[in-house]
Amino acid sequence: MNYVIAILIGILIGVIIAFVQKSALTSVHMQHAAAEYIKRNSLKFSRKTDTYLYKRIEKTAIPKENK
Amino acid sequence: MSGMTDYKCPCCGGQIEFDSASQNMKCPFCDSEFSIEAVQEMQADQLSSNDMSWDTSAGTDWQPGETEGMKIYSCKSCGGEIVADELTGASSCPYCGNPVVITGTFDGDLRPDLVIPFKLDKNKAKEKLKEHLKGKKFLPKAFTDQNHIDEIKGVYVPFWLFDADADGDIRYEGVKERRWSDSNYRYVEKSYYNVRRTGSLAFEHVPVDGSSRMPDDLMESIEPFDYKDAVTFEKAYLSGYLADRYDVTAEQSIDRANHRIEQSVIDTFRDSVVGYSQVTEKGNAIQLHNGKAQYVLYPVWILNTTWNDQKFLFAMNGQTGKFVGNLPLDKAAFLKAMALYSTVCAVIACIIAYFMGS
Repeated sequence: MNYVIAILIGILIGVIIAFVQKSALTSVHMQHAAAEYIKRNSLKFSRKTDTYLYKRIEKTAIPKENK
Repeated sequence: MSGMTDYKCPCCGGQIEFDSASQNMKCPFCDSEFSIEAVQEMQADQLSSNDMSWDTSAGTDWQPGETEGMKIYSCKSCGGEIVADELTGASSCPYCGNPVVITGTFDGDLRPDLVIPFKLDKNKAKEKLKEHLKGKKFLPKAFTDQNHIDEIKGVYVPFWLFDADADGDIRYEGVKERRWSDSNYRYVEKSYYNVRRTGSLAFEHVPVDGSSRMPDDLMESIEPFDYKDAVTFEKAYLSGYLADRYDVTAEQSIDRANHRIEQSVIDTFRDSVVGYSQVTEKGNAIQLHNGKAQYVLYPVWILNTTWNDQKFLFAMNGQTGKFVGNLPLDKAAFLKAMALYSTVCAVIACIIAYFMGS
């Protein structure tokens, strides 16, 4: 079973490498935003609040091995 | 009673009430408790609706006699129209490579406010193309050997540049996690926060190309242009080059500028929300002020090439030299390489599994 998982992981890595190299053929795409056109030092916050609301605790039992 | 405000529990959505025992607001459905300040913060000014408006009066009128000698060349194949002075002339369309003919004298269009003159020449464009093809895996060898540059053309592309001040008001839910365990259980404590960011950000010279024939993704790919080299437009700059006529107005370009500015505000504000394992945006409102547009010409080298009956279009930023253009894929080489990489990686993974097992 371990070898099956190892083979699958190996194949996945090989496929990823091939697709990364393929992506170098594409260089044309729309820009996501306008980050290069932000005026330097123009960012000013008038409100920056982080207000605590509530908390939740989840607990999961640790399986015990039968001896 | 009229005028009462409903306070909704951010955890389960039920109506929360004041609990006299704890002196906090409490949800009777899920037992969550909130301080008065937290509830007031949640109820604070509703996010105002998005409002993005622009002053799009850009460009000026040509001076009398200024357009003398400038001709319009039209392509019967793709409908492209370019402008060139009669000395430069134009014989083929920069977009599709087909012949163009003079169809009229240029006048009546808007005069650009500014222009960035060409800084790099045709030889540089050819050099950059060679660099662009070098080292690309899965590029058909025949493409590099056989492709011929049909034409390289220096074209001044019309752009609308947008300046604006953006006010943003964005709300997030932030979650901090703490994990621990004892002999019987694993615990995950999640603390929930109401995060609010309100502020302003200024933008200048956000470009949107004003030509429907020039692919938008190609023009955005060669960004950025450096505005500091922009000079007041003079007809002399066009000499030796072609100029595309704008056929997309500033009003039509606004949506694209709005979208990019909005995204940048969202990204920049999001970068200020730190220290959480999970952040979810709950709502945003962005308003633009002092929005104005300028009409400018930016320098672009356009290269057409034909290979295997397919046309490929490359572009180089005539100011910075940034070169872009999609290249064809050799499918057989790609599949062979993928099979080889997968085999090698699978073998290595099995060897690692063997040593881990023994």
